[in-house]
Amino acid sequence: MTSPPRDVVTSPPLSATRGGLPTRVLGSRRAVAGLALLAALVALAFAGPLASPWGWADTDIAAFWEPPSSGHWFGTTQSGRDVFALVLRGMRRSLFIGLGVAALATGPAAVVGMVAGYAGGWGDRVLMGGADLLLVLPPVLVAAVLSPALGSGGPALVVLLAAFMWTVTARSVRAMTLSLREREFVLAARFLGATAPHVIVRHLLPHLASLLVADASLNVGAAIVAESGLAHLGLGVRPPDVSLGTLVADGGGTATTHPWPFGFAAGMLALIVLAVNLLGDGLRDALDPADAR
Amino acid sequence: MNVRVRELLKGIDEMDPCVRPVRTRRRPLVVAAVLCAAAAAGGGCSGAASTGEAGTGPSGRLPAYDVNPTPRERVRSGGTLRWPLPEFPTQWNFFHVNGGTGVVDRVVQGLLPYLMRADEKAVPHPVPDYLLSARATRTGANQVVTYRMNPRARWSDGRPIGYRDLAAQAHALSGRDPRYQVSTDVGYRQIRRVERGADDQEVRVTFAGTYADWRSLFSPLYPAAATSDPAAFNTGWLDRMPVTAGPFKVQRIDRTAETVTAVRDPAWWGRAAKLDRIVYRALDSGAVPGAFANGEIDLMDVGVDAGALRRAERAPGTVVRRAGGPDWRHFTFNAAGPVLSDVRVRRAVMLGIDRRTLVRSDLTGLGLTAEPLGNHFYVNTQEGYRDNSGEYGGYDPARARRMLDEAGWPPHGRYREKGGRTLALRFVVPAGVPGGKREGELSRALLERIGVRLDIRPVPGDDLLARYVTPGDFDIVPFSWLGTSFPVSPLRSVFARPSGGRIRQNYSRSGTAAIDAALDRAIAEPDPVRARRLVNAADGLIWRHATVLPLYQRPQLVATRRGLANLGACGFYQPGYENIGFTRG
Repeated sequence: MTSPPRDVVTSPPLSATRGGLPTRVLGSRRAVAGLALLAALVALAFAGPLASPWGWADTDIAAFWEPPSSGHWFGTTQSGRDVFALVLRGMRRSLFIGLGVAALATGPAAVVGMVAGYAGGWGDRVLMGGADLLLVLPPVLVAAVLSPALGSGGPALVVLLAAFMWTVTARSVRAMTLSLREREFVLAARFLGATAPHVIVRHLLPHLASLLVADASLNVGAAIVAESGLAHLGLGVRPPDVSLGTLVADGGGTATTHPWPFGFAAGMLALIVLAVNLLGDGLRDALDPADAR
Repeated sequence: MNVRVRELLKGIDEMDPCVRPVRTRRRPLVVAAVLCAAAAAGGGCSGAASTGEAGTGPSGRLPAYDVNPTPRERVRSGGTLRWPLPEFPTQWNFFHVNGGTGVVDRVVQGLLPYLMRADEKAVPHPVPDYLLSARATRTGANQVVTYRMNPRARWSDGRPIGYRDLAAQAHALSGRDPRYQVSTDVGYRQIRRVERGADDQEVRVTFAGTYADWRSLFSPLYPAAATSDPAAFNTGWLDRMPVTAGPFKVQRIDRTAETVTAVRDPAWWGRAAKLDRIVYRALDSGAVPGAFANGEIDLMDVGVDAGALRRAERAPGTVVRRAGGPDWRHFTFNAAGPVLSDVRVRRAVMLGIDRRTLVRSDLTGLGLTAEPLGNHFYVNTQEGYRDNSGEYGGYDPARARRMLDEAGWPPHGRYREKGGRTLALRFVVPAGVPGGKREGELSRALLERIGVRLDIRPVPGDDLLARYVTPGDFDIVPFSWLGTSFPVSPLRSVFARPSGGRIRQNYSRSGTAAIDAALDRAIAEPDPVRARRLVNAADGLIWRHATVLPLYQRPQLVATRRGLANLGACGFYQPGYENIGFTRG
């Protein structure tokens, strides 16, 4: 009986295989492409207004529903607002909401799910009970009740959206944690005396990373679109302020006849989601220990 | 997580607030609906085969109607008209509380007597097939109207149309017998007695005092059998129309397919209907454009929507008819609010809003132009219309600034301030409806030039009236009033001073004794010409009081099959259904 243990006893140290994390992320073409695209979009959103002849709050009462031209690069809306300036304004707002919600929803979901799954017992029941409670509340109703109290601030909106988006992720993280904690490398770490935080961070998190990254990148797009849904309730951005979501919603009805307000906003929304998903894909590949051989 | 998110995305139903001035005491709604049939989805209305002025209105003004007026000899005899209805009624008694809709009106106009029908300028005229003449006289303080009915007019059960029918309807709708579940008792409440004249065809109706809108009565007219007994009144016309008297008669009411089929009535004593049949079909508003494009229906209301217009125009063999509709869009100012309680500020805001720009933006892409509306009672195409806007209807930012200075709101940075309070107005719009928001964005840009900040507040559409406008939690709200041929008595509740906390429909919550008196004089005046003059006098006072800023008469765009004659965008015009048809060739 001298044969060595068949399975890996500990989770392979990530840095031991193919260089450090940054190296491996940069080695992924998709991650690089996603990062570059996202950087370009952020740069456009923040630097673009410097070049635009019109501000987002300006109204050109001589140009209602003008198609794209040299005066209005992306055309104008029915009330004479410059679509280029509006789209950039909407991008800033939507990037903030999308990235903020993704961080705020996936982060707590990871913590709560892992703690609940690893700890079990009472802690598990309390945390998951809380998550389930949020799961049964109808988001629209809650948003309607809270909307007068929250006002139109962006941070309040990010918190509200995140509050409704983290629960399902938390449940799947918990389920994965439950199976991971019975795996040999986790058992071995525990028997060697590793503390719970150490096990969670060092041994569980790497295995959950790909799930969390995928979830976060999906959340970005979902949050941007959900924000426009909330605008129907008077929550979300207040006119004349805009987000990509409200631009898409307002322009959708006339997209067949006056496609520019809808088309440019929807295109930017698609590019943001594409960039985030490329980046998430690359990160997942780089982080997944199963691929890291 | 995406399932959860999708719930957030479910939009609130789009609601463009369109509110009907109410003139009943018991149940709101209804009578004002009579002439608004075409405002609902699938409108259309016929003009008589006369030399209409369709499409030839002076530039900048919409024509009063656009119905392809065609002489009867050029209309082909035969054919089926397929006409969409926005909903399928079950109660076909128009005067029952559940029946008083524009949909019922649209159907029964071809089936029941209308003693008076409005022309394109909303002037009512007797329909000679039913009513030879009607004459109003005064005996003492009371008004007596003598109706001379057409002796050839008969119900489908063979009985002549005359005294019994008018007397029974006047009694049923008087409101004195609570067993009749009536939608409105307006007008009929004022009737003191109905007497038989020289014969059954001469009817003398005596009113208590005067009633200027008496021409709105008995249109439609139901048979005595339907109105002399409360049970027959309440349930006799549920899912059926037992007796008719018109160019068409009911062939079939199909509740499953939600269709009503009306066929030419051979017993009709007037000029025979051109169409073989009219099939009314209830269609969801979302399904109407597709049904029209597929050739399943022959006309549809396009609404004020450039996208829908473009789609309708793409369907082959389509003509879009354009006319001024009865409804009008406006801003109501909350004159009980903290800032707008000062009439000088209200006037300045009116001067600071360029109505031409708003009109141009709202109607862009529809292939028409419209003037700003200068009247609170009549729309541009209505008899009696006069532009009373005077000095407050134009755009004059310089004067607006001066007026605000005088009112004690000096500029302080970008906006004006008084005692530390910024001159900011709440502009309440239903969320998810682009129109109101767009008007808010434009007004915000315009008012910024005179130092007034406009805060656009989107609120859930269902809450707009109940939670914001009625309690007065707003400064400016945009919506449309539905117009009628008899606008004065319903609009009294909009402009009369609130009394004892009851604002009725005066959402501006303000009025003056002079306006009340002028309105009462106009309502009591039986002579139409003098009444219009009095209405315009009242309107001038309302302009000066600056509580409601009319924007424009809403246009009516109706897409029809090419060749459809004497039907289209009707404005106020009420149809002679026997003239509707398709042209030869």
